[in-house]
Amino acid sequence: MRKILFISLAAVLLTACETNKAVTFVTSTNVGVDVDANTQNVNIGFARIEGVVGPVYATGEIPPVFADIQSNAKVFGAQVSQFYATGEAAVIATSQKPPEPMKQIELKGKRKTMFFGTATVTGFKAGFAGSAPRSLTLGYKRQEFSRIPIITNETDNSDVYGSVLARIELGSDATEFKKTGMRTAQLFATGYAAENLAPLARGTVIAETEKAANFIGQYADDANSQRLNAALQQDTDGTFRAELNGWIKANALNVSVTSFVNASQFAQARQRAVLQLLGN
Amino acid sequence: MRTETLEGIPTEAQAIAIEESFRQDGATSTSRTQDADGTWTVTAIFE
Repeated sequence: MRKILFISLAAVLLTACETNKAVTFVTSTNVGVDVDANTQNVNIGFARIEGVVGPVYATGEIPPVFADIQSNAKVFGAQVSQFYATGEAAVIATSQKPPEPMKQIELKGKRKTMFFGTATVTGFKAGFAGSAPRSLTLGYKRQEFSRIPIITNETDNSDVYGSVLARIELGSDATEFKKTGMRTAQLFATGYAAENLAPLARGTVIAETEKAANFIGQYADDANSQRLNAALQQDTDGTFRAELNGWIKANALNVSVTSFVNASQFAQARQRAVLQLLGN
Repeated sequence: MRTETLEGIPTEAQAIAIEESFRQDGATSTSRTQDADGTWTVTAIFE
């Protein structure tokens, strides 16, 4: 059934975006029981679909989108945390680097219509056709959809892809949102507002990622470890440690300098770091 | 919060040096324990 759903979603996506002049990004999540007589669809448990249709450029670049979900997958007492973002907001939310200062809003130039929407059900919902039930949802169900046209910047001929952001926290005490004491919290924003809110989600996303990335390594004492340790010992002002830390992060390795220098897992990466930072 | 652990450190002196290095990386606390095979394990906590 999920295969049929996915094929249907793909058909909708391709229909909605018959050219590469827009990016269509969809997620659909169900935790619990979801029955729909119209689509002849029955879901029990956890079901999630994510899809995006948009252009790929000659450089290999793809317009950025990001979706994240954390759930205990329980029908009753569901805890769900979802995040959805496009454009610069997606980049900010997933980046380890702090966002740039707020940009000046410039709503000018050629206009096109965009659409961004979410739909959420928690608890119980039934839809009727006459006296007969046609759909039933028990638990948690959420759909997120955006179709954002790509606008070409006339000054440098580069394409621009706008930002939208949505976040929901349900029955969770895991994030900043829950400091409000609310059991359900939602965010919905577009444009610069979405980009300004992205760091809030960024902290959560990174915290979740880092929590899942506790590191355990085996001590190693190879020639590159010794060279890096020697350089660190001579580094009285911390310059080399900062440089090496930057290299580690730039190479998407989520560990400290100490683990990088002394763990056997990073032997090959250490070789590259030594060549690039210390030379032969 | 996340933790980083290095196992199999041959000597206590090396373990102490690694603890110090973790602190320079910004670890809020570190600990070292000796394992059954005589090697040392150092754990650092980053808040």
